[in-house]
Amino acid sequence: MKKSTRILFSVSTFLFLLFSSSAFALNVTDKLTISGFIKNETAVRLEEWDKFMKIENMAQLEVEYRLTPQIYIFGILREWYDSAYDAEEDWEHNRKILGRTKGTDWLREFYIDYYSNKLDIRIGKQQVVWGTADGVKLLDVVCPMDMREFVLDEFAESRIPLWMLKVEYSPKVDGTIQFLLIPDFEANFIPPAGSPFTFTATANGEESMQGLRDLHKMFPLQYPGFKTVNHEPGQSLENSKIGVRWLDIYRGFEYSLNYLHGWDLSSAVKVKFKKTSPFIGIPILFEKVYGQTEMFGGSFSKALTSGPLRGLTVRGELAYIHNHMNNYGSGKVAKVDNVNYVIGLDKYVWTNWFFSFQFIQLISSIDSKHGEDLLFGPTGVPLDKVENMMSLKISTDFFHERLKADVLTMYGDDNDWRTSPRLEFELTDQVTLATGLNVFWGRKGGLNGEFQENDEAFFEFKYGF
Amino acid sequence: MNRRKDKRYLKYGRMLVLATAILIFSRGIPFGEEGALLKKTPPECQKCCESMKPQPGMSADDLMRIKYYVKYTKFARDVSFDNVKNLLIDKGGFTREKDAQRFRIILNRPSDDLDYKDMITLTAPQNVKGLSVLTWSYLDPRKDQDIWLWLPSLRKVRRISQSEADDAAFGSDFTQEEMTSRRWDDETYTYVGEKKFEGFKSPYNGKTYYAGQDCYVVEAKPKRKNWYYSKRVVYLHKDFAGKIFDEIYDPTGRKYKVTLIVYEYWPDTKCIPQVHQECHNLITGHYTVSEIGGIKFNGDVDENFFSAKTLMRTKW
Repeated sequence: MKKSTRILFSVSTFLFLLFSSSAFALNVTDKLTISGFIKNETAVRLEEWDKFMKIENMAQLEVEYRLTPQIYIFGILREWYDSAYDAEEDWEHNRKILGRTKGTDWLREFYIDYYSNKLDIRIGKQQVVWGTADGVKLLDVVCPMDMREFVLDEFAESRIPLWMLKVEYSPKVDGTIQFLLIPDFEANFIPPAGSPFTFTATANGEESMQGLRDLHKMFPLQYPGFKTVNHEPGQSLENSKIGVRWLDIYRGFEYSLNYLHGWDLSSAVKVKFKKTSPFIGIPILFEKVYGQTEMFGGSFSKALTSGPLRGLTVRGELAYIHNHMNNYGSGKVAKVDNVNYVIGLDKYVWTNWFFSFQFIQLISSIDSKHGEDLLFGPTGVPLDKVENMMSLKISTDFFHERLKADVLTMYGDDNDWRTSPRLEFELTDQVTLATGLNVFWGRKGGLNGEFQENDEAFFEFKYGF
Repeated sequence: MNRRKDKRYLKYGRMLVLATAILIFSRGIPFGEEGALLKKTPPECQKCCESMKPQPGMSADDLMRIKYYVKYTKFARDVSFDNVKNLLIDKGGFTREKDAQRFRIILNRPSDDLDYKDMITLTAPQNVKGLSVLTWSYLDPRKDQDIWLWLPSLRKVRRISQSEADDAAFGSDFTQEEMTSRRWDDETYTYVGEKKFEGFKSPYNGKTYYAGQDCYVVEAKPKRKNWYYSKRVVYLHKDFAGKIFDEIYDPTGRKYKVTLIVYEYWPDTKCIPQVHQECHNLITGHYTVSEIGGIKFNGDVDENFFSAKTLMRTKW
């Protein structure tokens, strides 16, 4: 099918969905609530306006049924299709992996809730979110993340819900202890080579493997080929992740203490070599390995309600991660400890102009092992022992909140930048339109700089009901 | 070796969860409304209202004290508004609707300075559904409110400072301070006199409200300098001193906004809920109408409900 025909087909399908959506009446009884949306998100490269980064069409249904005043059943059903994988030859071979809803992902969330004054229980597939930082995930590591769009998607969208039991008990007013038991395991989803936001390390790894495959074809005796093994933990009670959080407010000072134990959401790659000479080896086995990590952390927030700094909110979070698996040298894996923290300052500066500034520091216990550099996961370049980042988010609204504008700018200490301005317009109660940019700067080895050729403009259309 | 150690951690963790669950259940944490803890008999509305009744000859300060008492439903222990329909209507008649639920508990508790806690959750349309705001107000007039915001797009609770009080509340024509944060101490008051209110005809439903109603009229001026209004003329219902209407003047002295508040009087409990509000911007022609339904006083809402935990229950 020609590219233009495919695009036309996608647009027609979407328009059909849009106008046939009137069949979805907002069906509300005293026990059953149904809502949802259909949405199109399209992004194109700024330097090549006919190069699609995504043409994502999504339909979502949110259903809530009240069994009793204390017990609710809730589910989110979601289907999506990304036509960019049809339209663009560069991404085409990833169509089956990235182009549509996979497996049981259509069941986005499904859980039963029990509420009472002191005890809440939620059991089922759900998202749990810790921490308060913008644009970075420090404490927010209970659920894995789908990084097919890097970190550009809303975190509520990119977070992967897990099957779990969540119990919250409030022994005092404003004090709540939360327990999590998560027998479900899913790792962060890292996009494969040949997708719009492939990490440099993934692309380089695939290139090396392809080189090895070619060598094996040409010289099968000298180059015996290689195997890949993924040691992903199985989904069993034995592999359960466990979390505890205490959340309290003391005289307006809100704080949490967090603990999480379980398999790391990201893996490292261990490579086994067959020696062909004392100094040269050929890779014969690539193993994805996951470590058991401990995370101790906490967060705080305090709104200054009087005094000279009145109106300022100070917040922060800190995570100490023990036994994180990190690559170093050539295919070696070290266990490292990380301390990550963020300090944030938020304030309405003029009437409805909100400014939010963050300073983020990511500290690794070591930056080399046996004289070899630890590697920064996404790009594979030597890891700095201390990474400093800053962010500034400015948001406001106009015309009675009909037009909302915001811009998030992230800065990393190696002159690594991203800025994402966004405008959202409420056309009617049901229809919202949005547009914006994601612009990257920096060197190839930087978190944002690696995508400097991926500057994009995006457009969104959403019909909610 | 490490794997064995990890399994041990896991085992201890599970034991901890199990032990806590047993502890919780063995202490008889009740399920359902019947067993809910901290039940207190709410005060009857009329007991509070009798001491807060306007009388002829009262000072403007005292009348306005009663006005705030009525505004923040301090005659009740708690109140819930199950169905609040907010209509934002522009000059040409284009209308947007935002529906909400609202809950409030009156604490008036000097020990921790808490005056009341308030929770608003938007229930429609879909693009704002789930957005929730929890507000704690303090007795100390020098202290701003504490505010927590549930952001559906992030699935996170965000602590925010009280936004600038002249900002529009949820995009309406009411400012934040008109909706939630204005307190008795924020203004100085001058008694104007008694007057029959001429009535206000709503362009929304064509009804004329409060024509011929006897009122106390008070002029209120903000203590804050260079504020978004220079004064307002407030009409207070003669029977209970609730504000039924006010005219708001900008810093140049031009009347630029009027608000209308319609009450119901519930004789069995003597509660005085607000059931209809309008705010008209006379310059732009844009106006806001709030229809407030599903009102329930003294429903025994627990203070635990007004917490970040409840915000996190939000599914959207």
